[in-house]
Amino acid sequence: MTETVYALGVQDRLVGDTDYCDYPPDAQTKTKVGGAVNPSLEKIASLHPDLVLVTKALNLPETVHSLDGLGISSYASDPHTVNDILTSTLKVADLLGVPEAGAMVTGEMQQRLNSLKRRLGSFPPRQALFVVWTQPLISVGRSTFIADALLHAGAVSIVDSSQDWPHVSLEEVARLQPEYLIFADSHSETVPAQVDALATLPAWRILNAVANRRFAVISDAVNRPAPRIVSAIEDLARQLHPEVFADKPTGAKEKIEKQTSPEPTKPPQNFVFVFPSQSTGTRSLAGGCACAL
Amino acid sequence: MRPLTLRRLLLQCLLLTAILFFVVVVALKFGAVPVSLYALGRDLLRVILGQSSQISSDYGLIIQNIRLPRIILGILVGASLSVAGTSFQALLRNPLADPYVLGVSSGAALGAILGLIAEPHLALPPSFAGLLIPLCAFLAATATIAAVYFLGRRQGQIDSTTLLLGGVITASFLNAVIMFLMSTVTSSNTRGMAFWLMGNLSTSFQKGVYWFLAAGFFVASAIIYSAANDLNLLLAGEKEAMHLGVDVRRVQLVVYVAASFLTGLAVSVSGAVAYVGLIVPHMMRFIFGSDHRTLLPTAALGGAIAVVIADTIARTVVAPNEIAVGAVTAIVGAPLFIYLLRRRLA
Amino acid sequence: MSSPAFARNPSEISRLSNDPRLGVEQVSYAYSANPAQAPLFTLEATSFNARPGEIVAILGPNASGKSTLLQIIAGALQPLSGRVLLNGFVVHSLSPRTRAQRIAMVQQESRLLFPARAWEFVLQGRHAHGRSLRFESADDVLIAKNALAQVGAAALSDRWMDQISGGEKQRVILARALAQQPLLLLLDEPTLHLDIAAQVGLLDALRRLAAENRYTVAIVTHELNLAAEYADQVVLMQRGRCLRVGPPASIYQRELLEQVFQTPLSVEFASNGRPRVTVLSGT
Repeated sequence: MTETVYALGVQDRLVGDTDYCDYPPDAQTKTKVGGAVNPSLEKIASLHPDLVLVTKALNLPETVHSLDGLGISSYASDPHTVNDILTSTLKVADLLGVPEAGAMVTGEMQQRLNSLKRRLGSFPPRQALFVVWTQPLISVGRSTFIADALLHAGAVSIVDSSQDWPHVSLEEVARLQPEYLIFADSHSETVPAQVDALATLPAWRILNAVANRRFAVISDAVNRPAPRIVSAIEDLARQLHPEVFADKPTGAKEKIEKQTSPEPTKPPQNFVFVFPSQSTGTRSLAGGCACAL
Repeated sequence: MRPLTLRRLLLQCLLLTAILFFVVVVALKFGAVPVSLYALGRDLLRVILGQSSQISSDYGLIIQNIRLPRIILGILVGASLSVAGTSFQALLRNPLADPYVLGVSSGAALGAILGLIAEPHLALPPSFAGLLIPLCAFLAATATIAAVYFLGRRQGQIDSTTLLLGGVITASFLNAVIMFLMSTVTSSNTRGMAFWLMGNLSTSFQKGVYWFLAAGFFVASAIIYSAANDLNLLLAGEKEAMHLGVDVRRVQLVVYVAASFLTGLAVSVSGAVAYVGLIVPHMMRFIFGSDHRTLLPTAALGGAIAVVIADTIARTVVAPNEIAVGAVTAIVGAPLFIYLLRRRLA
Repeated sequence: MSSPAFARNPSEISRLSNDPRLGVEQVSYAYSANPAQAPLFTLEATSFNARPGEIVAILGPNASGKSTLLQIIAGALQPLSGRVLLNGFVVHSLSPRTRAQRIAMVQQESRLLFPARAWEFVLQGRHAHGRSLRFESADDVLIAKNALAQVGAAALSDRWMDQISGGEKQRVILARALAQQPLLLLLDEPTLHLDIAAQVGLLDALRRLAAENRYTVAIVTHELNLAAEYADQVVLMQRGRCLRVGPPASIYQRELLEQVFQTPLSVEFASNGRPRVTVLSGT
């Protein structure tokens, strides 16, 4: 959420964010109100925000209710798909009184996504396994945001589960033999070592993707439903379909380049958003850093 | 008057081994991928006879590399936990004792969490990377064993009440530390941790680990078994046992170390699988009596059977997803325990 | 040690005329919970001997050190000074296994965690005689059977230990001790939970067994009349001190007993030469 606020250009009205909001770097200079799961309500209240921004995936409803009790408005976003992010960004822009900025940002995002779609066009999507955790093997369900992001990047998750974080059977994965393993890691340097380590284990060795070291790393930005997600998706697409992007440098270890390179991030925390206020104009708004995990 | 004879013991073990074999065959058959037992059997025979180096049937690789090691892990973990549970129940003279009551599993869990936190910051060679967590868990378990031993001494030797108190307090303390760490650690780690804490057999290891587990199990169990008769006498009380000729101090120390070692081994590779170490000894006692010369081997086999069954359920009931094996043992174990308890009181 | 007041038949005299098997030599003990504090309980230097076939009663009121003395004789406690000899061996320096082959202890209640049958219980007595891990041999089974028969509990063989009466349990516990084939049989207040008939039955059995199998028996008790009736020798204790050692006739003097037991008594002698004590009520 903090990133969204920055992308919309209204960061001056952001009076506070959570400990984990660190992108862009300037966000670190904002007043911190604590963690995402249990922020300090006193701190929030002391900043007199008009609006608090929250992500449903990470923040607790209790926080919302508490803020409600304090009379502070909040807005909760709950993006399950990439399109949801676009909608949510527009909504936030509206609330913050900068619909034009919102339209511009989302317009650019949409354009890049469409361009990506065109380029990937006729190529079949890669069968991929998104690895949240290796032992035990935890992946993502079909209605998660990540699963949708994969689709936009030219991949399809082989896991079709209604749970969000299913514990998947390695046998099933070995039967399906995904073409790629996808990791989300802030330290993309450690992933090759991780895969090498997996290659020493009998159960993982039989996966072609492990034996042939076919893996991709998606930036940690995928955990934060913010405009940067598009860059993350583009970068992933590049790793998965090197033949499509022959003109660009390929490599599984490429970091995402953006205006500034992202700092190593811990999962950012979220802020509860209370009901939107009627504000437009220059009233200062409390910002929360809404970063999805 | 029918005293225990070697023949009767061997027959009982044979019966249980046959059941275990049957359970293993069933476990090989069921899973996320379909298996033809005939083809599997034929290929296994070829491998054993040296005609081919691996199973070639459909999904043979999956069976050989994923399912079979997992079944073997289940056997070793189940057997280790049951023998440890039986030993602690005798050592502490407490039918409610299980392998975790003295804090070894909490220590192992803490070691694993610390290993998890440290892992990204360490540059490890690939073959070692997979061993880090179990190794940390095992080392922490060993440290816990030593700490509880020193806490549990009174006038220089193990006193069962003091040991129990020391162990329970240590377990509480370690659990509190674990809670603290889990609330401050990043949430993707917590997810992995939660499964591990519940007891989970889906981890894959290098071959050497399985050999080490097996060797450790047999050595420690043999040591405990050599004191089987002493344990029988210990049940009547430490003083009485001594008057009957048991070197109580030595037996307590040896059994404590061996049983804790077994627990540490099991927990390091599978997390804390619930109820197995508590219930299986009681069930075997119910069927075969409380003579440890019978109880120890039958508990080992019974534990292996129980865990393989539980794990088969865990990986088939919501296939292709899995649930933690500890969840299955808890769901089955708790009512079973209540039932056994009521029978005892009746 | 003999006294003309006792009527003894010649065979009894000949059985008793062996060298002392048990030698308690100046044994003392102190126990303190805290090293810095003064010891809580002391047993002052105590000595006595006992021969094969002899019954010794360690007699005294509560907290007189009787049980401590028995534990030292059993080798379970190491005396602060002095030593206990059994056929020339220092008891405490023997391994628990060797000790258990020679000394058997009968304590009051046996707390069993898991149910066991009487024969299983008695078979435990054979543990010290075999390798640590082994299955009982036919000999062991025979000895256990005999032991049960000797205490008159053969019928209890298949019964569960937690389903028999206190007196029956006591007999089974004694059978287990006999199964150890000991030289020395020690009993700690064996009559505590028994009714009169059971008490007499037990002591009759002990006297018979001591005579037949040449056991040396030491019984800790506070029952004046039982000790008087059955003991060949009495060790009189009070507050950790051994006041006197000798046959009942010489120990049972009214003033001495009144001082030890703190209650008015009268002492008579029965026709068999054994003293009989009557407690006087009132002032």
